[in-house]
Amino acid sequence: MQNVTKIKFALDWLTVAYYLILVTMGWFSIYGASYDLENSTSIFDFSQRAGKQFIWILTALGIGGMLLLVEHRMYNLFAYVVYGASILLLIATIFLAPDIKGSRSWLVLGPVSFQPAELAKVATSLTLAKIMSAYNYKLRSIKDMMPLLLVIFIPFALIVLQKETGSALVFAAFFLVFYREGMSGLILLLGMLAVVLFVVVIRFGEVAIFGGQGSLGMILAMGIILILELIYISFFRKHVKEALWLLGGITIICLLCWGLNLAGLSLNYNYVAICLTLASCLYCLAIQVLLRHKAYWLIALFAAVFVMFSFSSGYLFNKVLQPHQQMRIKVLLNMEDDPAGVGYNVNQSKIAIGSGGLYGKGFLNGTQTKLKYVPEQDTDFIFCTVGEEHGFVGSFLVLLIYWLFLMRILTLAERQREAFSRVYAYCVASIFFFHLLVNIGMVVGLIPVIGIPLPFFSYGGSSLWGFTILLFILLRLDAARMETMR
Amino acid sequence: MADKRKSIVFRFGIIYFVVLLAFLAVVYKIAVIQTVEREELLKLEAKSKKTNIEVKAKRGNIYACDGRLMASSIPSYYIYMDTRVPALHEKGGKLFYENIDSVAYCLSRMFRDRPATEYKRAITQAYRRGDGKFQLYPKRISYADLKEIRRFPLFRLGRNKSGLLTREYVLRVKPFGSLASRSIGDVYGDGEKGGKNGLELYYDRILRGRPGFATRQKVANTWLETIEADPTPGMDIVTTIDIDMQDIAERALLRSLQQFHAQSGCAVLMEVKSGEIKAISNLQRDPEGRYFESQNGAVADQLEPGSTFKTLSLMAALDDGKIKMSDSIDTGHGIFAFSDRMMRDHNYKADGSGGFHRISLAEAIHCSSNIAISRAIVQAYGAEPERFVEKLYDMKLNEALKLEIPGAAHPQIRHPKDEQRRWSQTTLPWMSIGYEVQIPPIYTLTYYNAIANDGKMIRPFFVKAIYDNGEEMKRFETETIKRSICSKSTLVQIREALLGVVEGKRGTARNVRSPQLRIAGKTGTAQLSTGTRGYDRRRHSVSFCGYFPAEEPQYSCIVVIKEPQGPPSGGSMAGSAFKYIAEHVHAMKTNIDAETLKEDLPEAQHLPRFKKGLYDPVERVTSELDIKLAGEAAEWIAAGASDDNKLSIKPIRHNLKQIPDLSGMGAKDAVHLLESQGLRVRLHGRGRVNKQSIPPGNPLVKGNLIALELK
Repeated sequence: MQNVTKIKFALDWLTVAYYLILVTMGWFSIYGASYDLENSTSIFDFSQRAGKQFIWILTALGIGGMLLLVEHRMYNLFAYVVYGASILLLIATIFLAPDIKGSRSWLVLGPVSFQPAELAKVATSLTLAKIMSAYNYKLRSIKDMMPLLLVIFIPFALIVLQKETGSALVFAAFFLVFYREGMSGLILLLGMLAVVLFVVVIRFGEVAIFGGQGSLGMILAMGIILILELIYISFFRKHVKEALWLLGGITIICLLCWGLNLAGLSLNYNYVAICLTLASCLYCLAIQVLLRHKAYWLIALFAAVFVMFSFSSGYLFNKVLQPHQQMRIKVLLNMEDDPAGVGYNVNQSKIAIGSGGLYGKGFLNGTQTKLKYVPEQDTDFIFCTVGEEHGFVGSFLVLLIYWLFLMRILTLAERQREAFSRVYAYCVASIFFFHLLVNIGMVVGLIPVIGIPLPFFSYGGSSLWGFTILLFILLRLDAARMETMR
Repeated sequence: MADKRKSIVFRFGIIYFVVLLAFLAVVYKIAVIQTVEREELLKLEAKSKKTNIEVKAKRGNIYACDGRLMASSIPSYYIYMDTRVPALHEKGGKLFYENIDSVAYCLSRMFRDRPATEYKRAITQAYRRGDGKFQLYPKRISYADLKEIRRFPLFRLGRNKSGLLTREYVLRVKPFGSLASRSIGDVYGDGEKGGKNGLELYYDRILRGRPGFATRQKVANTWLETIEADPTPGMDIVTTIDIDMQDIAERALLRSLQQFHAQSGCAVLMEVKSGEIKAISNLQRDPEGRYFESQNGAVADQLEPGSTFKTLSLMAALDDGKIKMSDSIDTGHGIFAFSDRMMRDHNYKADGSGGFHRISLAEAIHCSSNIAISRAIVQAYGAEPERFVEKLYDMKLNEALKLEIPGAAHPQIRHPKDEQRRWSQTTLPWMSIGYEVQIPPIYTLTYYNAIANDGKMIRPFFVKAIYDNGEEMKRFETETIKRSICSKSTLVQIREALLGVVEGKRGTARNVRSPQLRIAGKTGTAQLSTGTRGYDRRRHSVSFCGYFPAEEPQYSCIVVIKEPQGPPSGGSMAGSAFKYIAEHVHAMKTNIDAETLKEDLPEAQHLPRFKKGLYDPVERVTSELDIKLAGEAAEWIAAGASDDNKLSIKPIRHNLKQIPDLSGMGAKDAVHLLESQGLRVRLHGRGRVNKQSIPPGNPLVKGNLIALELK
């Protein structure tokens, strides 16, 4: 009893308030999304989705309450056990789950279906927190990162095997945690560079330039790599002379090619650009060896790796990604217009949001979403109901609350005195951030379609329970921060 | 330490910044969608979406008075295949290639128009070229067939996987073909427009129902229809038409038209007490000499009635007390001058040997003397013709009836004070014999019906009731126009005179006299007006209007025949059709019970011929006739030889795994037997089964088609 009073006192009620507001708004949006103009049903009608969601909400609150009652050290203590169990569950799921819309990620227990991937997020967060909070652990080198990468990779791979690529990608969010805990920012930057190069090569890969003798994508990608080399050499290393030599070499070769082109001799400019970039690697190695400047071999390595990456992007895109995934990316990059097929969801959701205007059509008055034009409108595409019925103002309000909620979690994270709680809090923040960014980004057409739910809004017990567990463990840990001080 | 702290603040700042940036990007994108892209998105929405599409309601049925279907909407379907659906192309078209053989086989077996290989070739070709709407069968198919096709391999996987598309067409079908088809009317081929004529048009609003609305949205290459408001199906109407009487009337009319090579004609049968139109037939000759239902002349023809009007003229004068039936008039030898215009009787001869000389007015009706009637009317009303016309008006002869047939004409009896058309010295005498007035046949019938109905004039009507989904919404009752058009004594005299037309020794319709029942009526012969150029002596319309049985009239009827060949005669031309109708309708309405029939059975004991079939009906008939059955009873029997009041029967047991032997079976029993086993039956001819397309003993395969030839 004393315990309960203590928790009541120490609990961060502001976060709970955000949670309740978001869950309630989500509940009303589900009611709005599945509301039928002809046969209106009560929001409590348990045969309808809104009514079912109400039950999910009540059970989620129950689960949250129970998690608060657990002794906070237990989370640290049993982190590995939970992780192990969830991995076993993921493995079992691959074999036991029925095929639902092409994915085998749902365990069906009577009337309830549950996605073990949701639990895996919690378990992975706890495990990462435990590893990184170990005495004397410092995240400095690649070697320190290996166990962390392994912890992420196992569930990631298993979830990919369940054909739930979207949920698996969530595990990439943990790199934000690593960054906070000391991982070099360079890794994030290189990751971003990889994405940029990939997009450039794919987006402009089929744009022919120089009379069909080269593709804009490849030449642009090589240009980016060379420019980054030049910037690094001249601004970070301040070796202006070496930079100028490189620039000069590049310019001469470009002019030479131009001349040859004018003379009527055509070359494959893609190969020219690739060879030029690889030549810059040799140049850097030469500097390393001859001038004994430090770390030039790293520049060479960087350039070589990204040349390879750019070169194989096309292969990666065409062979590794599945056709529907390729199509989603192509649609996003405006390479293909497919309003009836893949682009359909996004187009319809944009239409729904666009037709909302500043103030929206009013609660339950949305027609785009009502008439079921937007598939998955009460799960992955729930946000467009908000956009249509409550307009810009409503969408902004929801985003604002999410932002405040995320900021609050980051604040909680930074005020933790125990590394375990802090890392765990960052994990929670990263997962929420990833879900928000990807889901809403997808709905408004910023990001290719990746089917992951919007936390607290999307219909479904599994994801609501998952997010609630994630959040309430954090709240429990936070409530205990005063205790640990003593 | 401070350095580490700085580093953490920096990292926290970066994370904070990234989160903020992401949120701002999303907010910015939403703003862009709602402002810059909005127009284009709404345009895109409008393009891929059609709202307020009318969903047609099922049109109501039209029934005969006994509930038999006369017009109904039956859905039929064109079937197509969308060979582009993704499911057919997955895994190198596995689904398609695995099923194409069985699909082709099933289609070929179903339609029997092309071999399976041909179907396979055509569909595979369509599949290779990516045909989005390949027509599988060129004709419309029934709902039952469609259901069957939906059970075929591949097609049973549904529209999204198999690409089976259907397009519905609603056909308006009249199960009784041309019977009363003109009065029932037609609908436009384009269903939207609804009724074109007849009852279909008059009751269009009721039959049509209320359309619903749907929104069509393009979803992944196909249009998805969402019904927003369900259509309200049209209501059914039950007409007063009696199919059997209609058949009789039509046959009678056709016979006479063919016999006299007439241009056109109509026959209308009305129930005396109720005013229900039991039959209405309009036939017209096409250039090839065939007759078909076309214009509804019975209600739409502005016709000068001719002699049938004489009855009404006399009735007016009698009722006014101006004349008596026994008054005698000298008609001379058949020619008389009114003012400057000569009137002739039909037996006038130029040598002076014709004419009726002095006859009573009753006789004038019998022999249809123009001169006698005209002279009597001129004597009675010559000084004040408006009194005559007003008397006719008072008898409601100029009243437009609310007829349910669109385009119905009204009677036109002009008034002497009418400014438009000058009333001349000759108008009154000619009007009294049915010229210079225009009365559509159905009106003439209405007046005669009033005579038959003890003076009570009632409105003829075509629709008895309106039903909504089996529930009676409205019942049309008999509507009285005038309680009594004349006094009782006038009526008695008129009816007596009309009986004389048929039975009197000078009657013009002596041939109408029937041994089976007494008929009363009046012949009419009128020259057809050519409009402004006066009358055409060669073109006539002949008619007979009356009622039967004369003592206690049940039905009134009018037959009009236009432009018959040969000397026009209302009695022999229209009258013979009338007689045919009267006799047959009378026979139909007379119930003869089995007892009487038994007594009538000739001594020779010719037993009725029994077809092979179900036992029960045979048993019922034979027991009524006191004929004993010899042999074993079973569900199905074959009747054999019979003598001495005995009919030998033999049981038949059908092995339901094989096609039964149907020879000698009646169509009803054969169809019942086959269809109950899941076969589809096509019949040709009438009588008993003579040949069957699948020989007995062959294995019975459900869904197969078997053709039976009856003889």
